[in-house]
Amino acid sequence: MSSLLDIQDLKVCYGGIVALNGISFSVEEGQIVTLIGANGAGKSTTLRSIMGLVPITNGTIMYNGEKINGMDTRRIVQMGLVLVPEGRRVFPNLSTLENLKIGGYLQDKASEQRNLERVYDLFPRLKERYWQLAGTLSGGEQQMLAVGRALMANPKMIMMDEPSLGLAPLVVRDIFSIIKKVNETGVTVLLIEQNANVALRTAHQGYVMETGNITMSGPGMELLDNEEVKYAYLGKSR
Amino acid sequence: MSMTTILQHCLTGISLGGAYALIAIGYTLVYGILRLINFAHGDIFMMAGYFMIFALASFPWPIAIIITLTVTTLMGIGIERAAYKPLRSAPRMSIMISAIGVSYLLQNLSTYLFTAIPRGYPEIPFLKQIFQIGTISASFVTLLTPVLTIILVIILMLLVNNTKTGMAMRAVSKDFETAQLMGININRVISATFAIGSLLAGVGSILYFTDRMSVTPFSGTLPGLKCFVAAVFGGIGNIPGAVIGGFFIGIVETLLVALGYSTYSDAFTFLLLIVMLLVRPTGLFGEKTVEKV
Repeated sequence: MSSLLDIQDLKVCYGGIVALNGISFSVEEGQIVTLIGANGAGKSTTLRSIMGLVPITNGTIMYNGEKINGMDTRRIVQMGLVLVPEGRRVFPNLSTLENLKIGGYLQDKASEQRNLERVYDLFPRLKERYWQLAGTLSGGEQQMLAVGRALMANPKMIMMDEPSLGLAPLVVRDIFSIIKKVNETGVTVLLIEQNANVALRTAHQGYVMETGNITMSGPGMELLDNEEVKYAYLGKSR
Repeated sequence: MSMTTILQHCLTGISLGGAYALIAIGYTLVYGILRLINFAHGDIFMMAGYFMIFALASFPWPIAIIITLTVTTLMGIGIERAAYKPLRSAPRMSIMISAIGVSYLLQNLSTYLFTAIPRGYPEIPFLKQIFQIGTISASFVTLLTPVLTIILVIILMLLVNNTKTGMAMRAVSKDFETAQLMGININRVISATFAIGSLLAGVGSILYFTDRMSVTPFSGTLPGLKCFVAAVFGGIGNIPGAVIGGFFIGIVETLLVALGYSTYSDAFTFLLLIVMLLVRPTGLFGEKTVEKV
């Protein structure tokens, strides 16, 4: 197996504040990898800097054998790397169908149709609601739409920023089973979560982040059994 | 006042309103995307007046119109590139101040280049042709303005609602960053918005000045402010709202003049702004926005 995404010594500063203090990690092709950590650990910053939304201070980001730091977000999307942003961020003033179509903004007509069918297969609910304004969908449906919208870009790798945020436990379960299903179709997944339990259960590989550093790594189930992790993220008392 | 006179004034008002509507769309479009009140918009409209004067001096009218609209559109895009784009991530107030700066720059530049003495606006013969409908007589431009306005608005609405670019515009107006994540080129969408707004201001300028005989470097100030009020009245960010606002202000203003209150016709517009901001700050069709902290 080769690394689809390889990050070396990534450093990001906001003004004088160091958000990422030279982190390194990699994502193998075909896997689900998760980054867990508390608020302010730098998880979102990691994803945003990979997408080129945040300028990086130092380090390299290799995707699919190409250096993508400093690249235009548009180019990165074109290369099949997409991000489902935190808080879903569907376009509330666009219909469900339009949201999906805009996810495939860089695709041609034929591939748009193909991707649309694939998304409707995964999320029959979105097909039922295609005419509805996205702002009127429920939280769970919006998350499905956000994932579906990302899949419209025909991605090789999809990054998700807290897909469980603000959703009921049952809906979270649904979302994660969909993430697994998406992964089984060959899409690599990088997942960011505060909900460490469900994330580690789903992931092949996990990394633990603390204030701009990666402090632990290992297979998901192994981290789940780790005493430190249990104490810090799974609510186990000492 | 006889029925004929009333109808005559209504027609004039509708025509003026049409020109206002075209300019008001520019304010509303730019606000919708950038949350910026483009104070230079009225001056773009004024510059279009000068472009037409010079273009018509050396070319036949169809070519002069094309030149005027092209140059106006390019100027709109250029202003955005030079004065607003570098401030994309700056606080909103900075870009607003930049817009005020561009407005003064255009006014003073044209005073310097063309002097402040009013320049006669050339007559395009077919636009000035007089038509007689029953007892009412009107020049062709008076009849053309509202019709053309409505056609252009319909085209614009189709563009915004049914094309990929229009979809991108609506997406960008809600969320810059997420739009970027979809692979949308934000700068291109913003350029397109300024291009459309300036093009419509160019059309509005030709229609407006044909009825007004002359252009000065300050000809854009008052119409610009009035059209801004029209956009606010209709709910800034909302295209049909701006059109209705434009027609409303045009008609009321003309009727006030007809009734002998011409002293107050400008005051009315701003009174309308004050009342609207007090009673319904989101305008007729504006959506309520929740400021996120």
